[in-house]
Amino acid sequence: MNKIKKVVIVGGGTAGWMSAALIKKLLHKQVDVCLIDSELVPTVGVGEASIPPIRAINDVLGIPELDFLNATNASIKLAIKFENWHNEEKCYFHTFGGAGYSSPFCSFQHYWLYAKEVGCHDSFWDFDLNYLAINDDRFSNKTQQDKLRDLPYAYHFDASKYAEMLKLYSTNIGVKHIKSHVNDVRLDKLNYVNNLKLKNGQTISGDIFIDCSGQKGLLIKEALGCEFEDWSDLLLCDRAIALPSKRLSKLPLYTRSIAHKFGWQWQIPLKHRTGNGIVYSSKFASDEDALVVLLKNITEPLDVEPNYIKFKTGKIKTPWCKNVVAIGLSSGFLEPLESTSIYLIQSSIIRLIKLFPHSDINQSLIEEFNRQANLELDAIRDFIVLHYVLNDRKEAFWQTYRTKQLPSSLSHKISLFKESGQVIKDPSDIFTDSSWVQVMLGQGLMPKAYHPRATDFEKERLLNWLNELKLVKHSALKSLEQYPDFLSKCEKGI
Amino acid sequence: MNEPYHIAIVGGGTAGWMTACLLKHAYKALNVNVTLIESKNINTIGVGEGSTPTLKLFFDRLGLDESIWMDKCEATHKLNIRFEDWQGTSEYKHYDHPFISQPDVFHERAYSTNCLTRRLGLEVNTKAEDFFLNASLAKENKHPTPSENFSFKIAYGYHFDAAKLSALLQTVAIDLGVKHISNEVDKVICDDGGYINDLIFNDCSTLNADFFIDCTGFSKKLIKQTLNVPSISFSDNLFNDSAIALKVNSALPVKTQTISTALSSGWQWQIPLQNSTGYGYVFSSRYQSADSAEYELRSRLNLIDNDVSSKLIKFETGQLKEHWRKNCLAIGLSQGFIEPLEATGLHLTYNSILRFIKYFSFFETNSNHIKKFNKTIVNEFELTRDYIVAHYKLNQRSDTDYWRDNRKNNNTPMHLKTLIKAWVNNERLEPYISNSVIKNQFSATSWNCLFAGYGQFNQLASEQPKVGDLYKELKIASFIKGCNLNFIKRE
Ligand SMILES: Cc1cc2nc3c(=O)[nH]c(=O)nc-3n(C[C@H](O)[C@H](O)[C@H](O)COP(=O)(O)OP(=O)(O)OC[C@H]3O[C@@H](n4cnc5c(N)ncnc54)[C@H](O)[C@@H]3O)c2cc1C
Ligand SMILES: Cc1cc2nc3c(=O)[nH]c(=O)nc-3n(C[C@H](O)[C@H](O)[C@H](O)COP(=O)(O)OP(=O)(O)OC[C@H]3O[C@@H](n4cnc5c(N)ncnc54)[C@H](O)[C@@H]3O)c2cc1C
Repeated sequence: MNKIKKVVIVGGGTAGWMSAALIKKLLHKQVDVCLIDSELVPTVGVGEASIPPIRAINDVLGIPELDFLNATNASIKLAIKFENWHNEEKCYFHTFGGAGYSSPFCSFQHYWLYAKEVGCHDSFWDFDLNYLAINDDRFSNKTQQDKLRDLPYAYHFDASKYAEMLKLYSTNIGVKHIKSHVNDVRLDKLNYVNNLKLKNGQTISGDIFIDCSGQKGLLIKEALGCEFEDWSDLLLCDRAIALPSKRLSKLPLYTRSIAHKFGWQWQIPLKHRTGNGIVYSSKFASDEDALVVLLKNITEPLDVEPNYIKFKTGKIKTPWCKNVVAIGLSSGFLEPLESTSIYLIQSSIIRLIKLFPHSDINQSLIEEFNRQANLELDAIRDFIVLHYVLNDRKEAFWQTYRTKQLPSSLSHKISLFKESGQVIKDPSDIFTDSSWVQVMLGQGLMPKAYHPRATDFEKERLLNWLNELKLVKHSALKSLEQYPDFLSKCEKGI
Repeated sequence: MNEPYHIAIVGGGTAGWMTACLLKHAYKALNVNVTLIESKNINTIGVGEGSTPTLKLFFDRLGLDESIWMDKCEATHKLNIRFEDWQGTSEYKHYDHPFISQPDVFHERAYSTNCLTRRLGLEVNTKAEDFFLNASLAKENKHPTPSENFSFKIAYGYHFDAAKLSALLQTVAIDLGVKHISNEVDKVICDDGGYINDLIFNDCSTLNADFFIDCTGFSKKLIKQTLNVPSISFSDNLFNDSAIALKVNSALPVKTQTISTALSSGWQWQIPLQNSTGYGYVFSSRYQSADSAEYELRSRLNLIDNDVSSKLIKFETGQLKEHWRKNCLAIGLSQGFIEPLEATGLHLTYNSILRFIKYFSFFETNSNHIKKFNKTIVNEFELTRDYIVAHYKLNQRSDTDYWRDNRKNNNTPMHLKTLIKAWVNNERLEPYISNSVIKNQFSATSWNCLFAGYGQFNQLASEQPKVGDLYKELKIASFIKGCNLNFIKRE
């Protein structure tokens, strides 16, 4: 029996340093952690938006929120605003909140659907505190016990600065950092990674190797040759151009995602700059076309040159293979439409830590890890595809989506909602019911029916109840502080 | 009409709220809903501002007494504009452009005659401040409401805090039944015929209406960004494109006139409010940087080390080619902008709204009416521009390139050329002015004040007959003095 004692991480991007920090922090008694990154290969240097679970990482590591906010020029994110996705005349929000109040047997959308029939003019979002806070420009990071007053949030932040912060953190708790290019990956006769040969002459051996080397997947793909499941027939985009501009004078509390004729554009309001980029399909647009559209839609002066990125959508089917675990871009890629990449890094690390072998790597741990990883990724893929398929746009790119053969998991969800207003939460799905409802409604899918329990209410009582709900949400809203005040307090360090 | 007719006004600056008040007031007996949408994120332009007598007409129309609104807007009465240092010589250090009150009507002809006589070389009085009652009242800081036994009407406008005026008009409009929505218009959706159907807001909600009024200020969200109505620039004639404005919390002793002082690359306004004073420097960024302009303004006001904040406003002068297209009307700064030398902003706004009400029909889009409306308003903007441009043509300052280039500039508009020619040919101006399509703010008397104020005269003849000065012969001095006695000084 060989005790697992040494973890070697290849890659010093967000994935590498998050892995180093968390593994060392949580398994410090058992393992030594060593991180190798190349002086020759830069990090992708994009990735600025997150989803609420990111906050848990800082909690685990014991990094105070204020330090994080200041070190990464972070701002607050309460939602994504999808513009022109349904068609060019429509927009909607996907907030992190939950609208209204769901009773045990009947979710809120059913009450709302019924109320609409009997004269309620409020939108689904009018009952969502995140949405109200965005429009009133208010925020508070104080936790609320009462679910009705809860304001789930995430951050927009500079991921490179975050990686730097975690690098400092990791080296302080004993992670060993080697700056040298990995020239060669040597396998033993069972095809386990034995050691790495570095450019500086060192040979590094270890028990578990974490591949955080980015898209090329130095260990998982190049050395072990694990199979990559290509999703590019389902998600057509394969290129991105990132182009930051100067800071917006007023920071919105949301990321913007704007659909264009052959893809979509992000706008992420950070404190020191605005992250912009366009994600598109090389089959439908040249890089020049994409740049022109992007430039036309950037409002602030530019900061730097455009960064052209090619990517391949899909996943490694066995992100844990032998003694290699792929985390980050090496394990697969989904376009950043719902800002899930950094979350997936986090969740892979947590999963690895939860399933961490005491001694010897056994196949059942590997299988469980891969089973969970696949379910999680498939659920996110379905959610992202959902945005594309329910469109009502005229361009070829969008038309193509409307005629796609969908994964059965997704077509089931869509027809379920369409026929009955029901959303069934998949346990491995990071997105809540409310997320699915918001996107389906936002993309123009109005259910034909609702749950019979919704009609238990007399019409008058239902409308009264909804008004009361709104009052509660509004009183919660007024207890939040003005967002600009929150930001300036952060800068002053209080 | 079964369904109420819905008019949506986008923009909550003075133009937006003034439009809301006037429309709701005009249509109060009809089934018409008026909604005003404004964005909390986009500031209004309003500074300390002056008006012409039209603002009084506006309040009279709504039946709002001065006692109700003036204090709330820090407003004061304005009788006159005094122009300082424009001419550039010691003989004509300043001149006045008063609003013409009823008693002055007796002497407008005499003033015109004197202006003509003076051009012929005779030494006669051509000072507006001696001829007209408003100038004499303004100088003495007198209130424009006379004692009861003086039954002539006095023409006056106001100075006011524009932000406070917007706020006041908002309460008036809401009392009248205007619906107020605070939201930012993100997109405007048109039908295939180019008529606006819906507004889409930043929060993804929407609003449908039958008619839309663009009061979005310089951004022209509807009329230009959506309907692509082009603008005609006035910058070939008006060099100024920036203003630095600030407000100090001390009141001036004399509150009855605006003072406009020519500076090195533009001019400065001084607007007396009840407890504070608005100042601004309107200049051309081609001739002076904003920093240097701010320094020049602050040094004049002794505010170099003072931390009173200033705001820089960039503007383009010009106007829309069409102020009304299909079911969209532009009102306020969105229509166009002419520098505020004669405080004509609200005046043009008010006139545009009233004319719109005259031509508008709920039942049809009458393209003839729209054409007539546009022709009239475009013309009114041009006439106003001409009067402003005249200041830059007729002055004799030559201290900087700014003033020299302005005078050298050959793009003088037709109508102004005609007037200058008439003046030089020793003709009266009246025939040229009453020929215009509409009765403009700037009467022949205004033009006479301007030409005379800039000393546009020939040399005096060597022999003076010492007769023919109507100022003396009609005993205007004592007439003015007599009138003046009916007015009391303000505290
Ligand atoms: C266009 C775009 C937008 C995105 N937006 C978001 C977003 O909004 N939110 C989000 O959560 N995620 C986003 N992502 C994903 C996010 O950028 C990545 O998940 C994150 O940066 C992690 O990258 P990484 O650390 O896996 O890889 P990288 O940043 O590519 O790091 C790779 C590391 O491996 C090292 N390396 C490579 N080869 C060798 C070698 N031979 N020897 C030694 N070291 C080596 C490199 O030096 C580098 O340090 C986006 C991605 C793209 C492409
Ligand atoms: C330097 C200067 C001095 C002036 N002096 C005078 C003077 O002495 N006398 C005079 O009569 N006039 C003067 N004016 C002109 C006067 O300020 C304007 O005529 C007047 O303020 C009317 O402005 P407005 O309402 O058209 O526009 P603004 O005051 O600019 O208001 C625009 C409104 O539109 C809203 N808005 C814009 N975009 C959107 C959107 N997308 N969605 C929703 N709402 C939107 C804004 O929130 C705001 O409420 C001066 C102007 C300047 C620049």
